[in-house]
Amino acid sequence: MTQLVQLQKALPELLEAGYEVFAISNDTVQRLADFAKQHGITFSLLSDEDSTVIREFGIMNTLIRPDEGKHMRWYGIPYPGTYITDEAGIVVDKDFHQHHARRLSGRGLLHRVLGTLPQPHADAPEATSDGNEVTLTTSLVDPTLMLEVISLLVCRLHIAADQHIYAPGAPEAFTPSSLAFHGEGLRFGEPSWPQPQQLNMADLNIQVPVYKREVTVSVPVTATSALIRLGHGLEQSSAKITISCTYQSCDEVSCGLPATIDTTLSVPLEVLVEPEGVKTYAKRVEQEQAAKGREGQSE
Amino acid sequence: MSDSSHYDEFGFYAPLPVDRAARREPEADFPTGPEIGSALPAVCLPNQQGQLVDIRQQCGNRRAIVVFHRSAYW
Repeated sequence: MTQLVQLQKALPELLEAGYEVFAISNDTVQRLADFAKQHGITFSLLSDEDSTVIREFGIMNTLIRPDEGKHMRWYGIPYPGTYITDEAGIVVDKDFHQHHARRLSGRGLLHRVLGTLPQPHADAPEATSDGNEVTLTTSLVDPTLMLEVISLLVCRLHIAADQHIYAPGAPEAFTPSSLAFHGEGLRFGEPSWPQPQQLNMADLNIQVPVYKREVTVSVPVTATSALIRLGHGLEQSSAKITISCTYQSCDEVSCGLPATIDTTLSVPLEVLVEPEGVKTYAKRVEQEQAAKGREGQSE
Repeated sequence: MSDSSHYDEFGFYAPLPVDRAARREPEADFPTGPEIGSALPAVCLPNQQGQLVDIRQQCGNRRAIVVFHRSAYW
């Protein structure tokens, strides 16, 4: 599923939240028209055919020379990224990537824009493991993982009533909670922990950051080419993620021993573009250039 | 198409061999355009219907998400 199709799926929530959505590339109007029709895209796909706007923004990939890769419109592409503006048109956030294919997933962008706590997708798999006073539930904000599309793994810790666990940043003596991730062919980012509460430990005369009841932690996760190769279909249908949570659970009076919960989540993989998509793409550009009487297919 | 010298470490095919500068990740900082806190430059481009769209005008009092991407087909 391509980026624009993912954005289209997130569109109702973005519109509802007061955003207009625009996507800019050096695709021709005709190509954008075909794509929009084929995939039911209703937001503005803007054609910056000669990369004027991309240049004005200063984000053109200038490592590519004018004579390189003409038949795939390689010259003139931007570094991929997203600007978010307020009502006055001031940039309030942006997210840019070096590799031309890397981007946030539709749901990932939605959570970033809305500043909401990442929610598991209804169609995403879920895995749960019980520990001592704590249950770990993991899922994904997207139903699948795709090549170089940055999704979010959602880890929820349910903490027994009257218990607390220590937040990252708590003194080592209290065993701060930590999460570790592993998955063959997957890339993980830094976990985002929510703001903890401060627990007053009067007898020690200190405040210690803790979590009670429920904590949601999100972690960027991306499938790499070790799992999916563009234009080759899928060699395996899912990827395994193992998650280990280390914590210490305490109440007002006593503490349990530090403990670790392990869980394994199996996440479906999906192709980014159709296996034939890249060939089709190159062919379409050739046809357009031939139609315009330009000398196509250089290189 | 099947030539492995055209697939990068992320599995992406492009018409340039992977040993060309353009196929590598930029080594240091790469430009990301207007800074947070500055105004988004004016953009007026044709949309998929061929009609000129001025982003500021179309937004009115609404906020904007402006995505720059490789191509619709990616």
